[in-house]
Amino acid sequence: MLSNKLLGVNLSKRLLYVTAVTLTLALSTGAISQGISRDQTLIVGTSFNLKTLDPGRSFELTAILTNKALYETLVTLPDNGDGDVVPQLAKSWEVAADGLTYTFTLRDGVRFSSGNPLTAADVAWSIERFKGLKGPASFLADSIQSVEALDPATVVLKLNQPDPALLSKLTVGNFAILDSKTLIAQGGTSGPDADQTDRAESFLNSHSAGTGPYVLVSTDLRSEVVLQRNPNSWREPAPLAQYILRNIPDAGVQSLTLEKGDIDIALDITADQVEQLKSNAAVSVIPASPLITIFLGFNKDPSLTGGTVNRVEVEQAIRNALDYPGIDSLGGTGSLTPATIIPVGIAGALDASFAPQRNLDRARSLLQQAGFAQGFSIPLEYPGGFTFGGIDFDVLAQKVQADLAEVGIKVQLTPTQVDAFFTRLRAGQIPFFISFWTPDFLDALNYTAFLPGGIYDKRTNWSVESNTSSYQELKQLAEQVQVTVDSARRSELFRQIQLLLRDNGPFVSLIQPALPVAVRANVQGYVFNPQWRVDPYIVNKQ
Amino acid sequence: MYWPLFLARRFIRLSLLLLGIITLLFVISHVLPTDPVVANLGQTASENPSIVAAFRHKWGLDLPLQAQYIQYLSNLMRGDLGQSISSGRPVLNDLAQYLPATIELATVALVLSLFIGLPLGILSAITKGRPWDHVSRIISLLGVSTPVFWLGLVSLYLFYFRLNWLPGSGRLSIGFAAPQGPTGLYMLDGLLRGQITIFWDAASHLVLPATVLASYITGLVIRVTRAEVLTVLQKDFVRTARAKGLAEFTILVQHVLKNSMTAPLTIIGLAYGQLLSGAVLTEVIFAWPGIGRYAFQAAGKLDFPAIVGTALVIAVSYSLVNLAVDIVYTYLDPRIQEL
Repeated sequence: MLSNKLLGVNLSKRLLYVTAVTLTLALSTGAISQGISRDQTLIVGTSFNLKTLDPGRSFELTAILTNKALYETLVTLPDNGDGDVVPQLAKSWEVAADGLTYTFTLRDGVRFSSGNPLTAADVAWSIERFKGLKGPASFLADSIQSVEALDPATVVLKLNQPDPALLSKLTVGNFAILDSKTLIAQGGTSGPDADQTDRAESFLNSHSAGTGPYVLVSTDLRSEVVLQRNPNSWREPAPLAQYILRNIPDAGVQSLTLEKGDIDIALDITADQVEQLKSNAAVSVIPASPLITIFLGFNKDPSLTGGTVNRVEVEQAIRNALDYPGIDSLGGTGSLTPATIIPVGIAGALDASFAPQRNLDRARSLLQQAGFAQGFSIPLEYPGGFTFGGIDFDVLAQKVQADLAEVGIKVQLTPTQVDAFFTRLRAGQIPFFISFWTPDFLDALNYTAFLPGGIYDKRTNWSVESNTSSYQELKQLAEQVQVTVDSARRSELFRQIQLLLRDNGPFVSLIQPALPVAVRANVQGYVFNPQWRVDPYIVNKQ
Repeated sequence: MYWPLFLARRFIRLSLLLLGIITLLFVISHVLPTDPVVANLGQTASENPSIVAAFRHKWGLDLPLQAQYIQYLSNLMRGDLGQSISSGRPVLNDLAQYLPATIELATVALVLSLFIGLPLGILSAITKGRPWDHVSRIISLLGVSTPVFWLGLVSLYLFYFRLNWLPGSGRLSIGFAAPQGPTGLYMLDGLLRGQITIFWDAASHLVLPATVLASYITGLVIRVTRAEVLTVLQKDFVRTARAKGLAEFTILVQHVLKNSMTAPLTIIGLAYGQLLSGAVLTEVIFAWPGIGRYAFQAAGKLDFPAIVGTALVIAVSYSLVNLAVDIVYTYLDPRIQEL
């Protein structure tokens, strides 16, 4: 038979050949090139979200992470992000009594990686460029009217209105001080028309022009960014010679690569990988909170809600109906319920003991008062198929649905593609939703977005309730807190705001997820900072 | 067949197809209930009038729809695919960078599936009902039914993490500089530039993702080849050849295989097009910077220039592969020339 004759072929020879090729390939892997040893290299694995490395144009997490090593700002945050701002390129500053003028004195002897000295002209050029580019973070510079170099070591920022969060905003990497001489030679421009005239972005994607402890060596925006020690840094040389950021989009693969030792820090591990990693002695899991708040929102326009969740009693009933510890458990160890939209970790935030508690009897009684003793039906819209801060929004929505069912509220889950969701939300069209917020800068003032007059006022049509006392009171407090510079007075105002927001208004905070960072045990000195996540300058290896 | 006429007809059909794709995508991307402003600026920036105005102006979104459409087509005539909103770079540059990664992966996956699928399919047919047939059919079933993301994770766990035989994710090991062209296919570039280390490193990084990507196509090729060979084995001319006393090996190679390759070839043509556009999951698991993920991310951000650029490239690739398949058909079955 045909088959018998053909089966006479010696298959084992082919097998032997395949094995030989595989082994040869295997032997060639695992090396690290560029002449710098693995011991002197810090490798961070993360899921890249990187459009540009131009500090004036970027606002993505990976750009912030990378630029922390390349650039410096006038002032910065303590390593763990908690506490007052501290000097960096400015050695001191003064704030005028009216809060409208900030005068910074620059540190002496600072040079850019090119060797050019840092001057006040570079500071003015960089900040005016950032403002003029009108990029996704340029709103941070809205309160700045002008930047003037008084002399080579003195810069004056004039504001168009008092901005108590200015120093906090200046710590954000978009305010990086750039080497203006180098960038002007590369087509960089500054001023109000920078969005039309600046041509320095492509240069900044392949070179750095800062004073940071590292310089950019190579960039592949979708695979890998390689940095090496800046020989011209004004600070002590960085402990490690090389710093590499590697794109590993899948959390499971990131975790495996860390356990294998091919990366030193994994930034995107999920709660279910933590237990596995904890059992590995070569890995440490460091608790971290990225200061994300995920919340439930109600639209106050009765024509959208059918006269249901816009009602104050219903809003209060839902606050009382939710199983907060159960929701926390979706986020893994360290997740918590914040008292309001302001997460624990932002200076002045109420601690978690102020968080709302479940009280089903009260929830039912409130619904009865509102005329909904038999409950009602309402669609709940949220970003579907979407995970943020380690929280799967589909699962979270199901939990909310189950909790509200206990008091008779029948929730129809309406997952929507994330950008379509925000398009509808921005237009104030969603009656009942789950959304999230990450701080643009680490100051409670960022959360005025959730006060009367803020962007979420518009998104929830809250102003429909503008005649209520809580709305009016919050509106006055919002106006005051936005111009109050005195820190004791600010703290008091924020406390009043949060106590009111906890029990009133169209938002209920559901969860502040924890997102631990996993590091190899031989990595020393790593501290999580919610703004930039990794500062390689403070990290060393045993 | 008169080749110039055949090719001219194909070219006209392709041009109309591309125009249709552009128009359809343009309409779809403008009727979707999503604003590119929201998709590309953060929550705060998308509420800031001066930032939003600058964004719309920069990307031509402040022009009337028909003006955007005409401007896109006129730029396209000049070979300009526009700038990607999500990467900020010319779409041509993005495609030039990401397409070779996918071509390299898809080509190796296709070659693997041919080298494994065709022999197993033939073996399965000629040993019908016997152990080799069962083994081949199980392999085929596993290939077709195993989810790619699961196979990817398990293969990484086994061959990278446990056995240490193969490297992890990415196109090159950490710290290896990518070769500076000319093709963007790292294995080939490594060879052309005499960088043997790069060649081996790129090849070793290809083994797992290409095998995973090949699994489904291999399963299909085994099935289709088996069915076709079985059909041809029943044909009169095979019986006649046997009656003439030809050796079984000669019958298989000269009569059976040539007559049973049309269907597998069709599958391969379609599969290659699919591999070029549909490798998103494999690209995510293996951190492979290819065109599938690029298109997926562009779609999420309503990045019209990038979406259309990718769609055009994929449509052209499909057409070219199918043209090649048609040409091979005429070799395998000269009767097709008459059609």
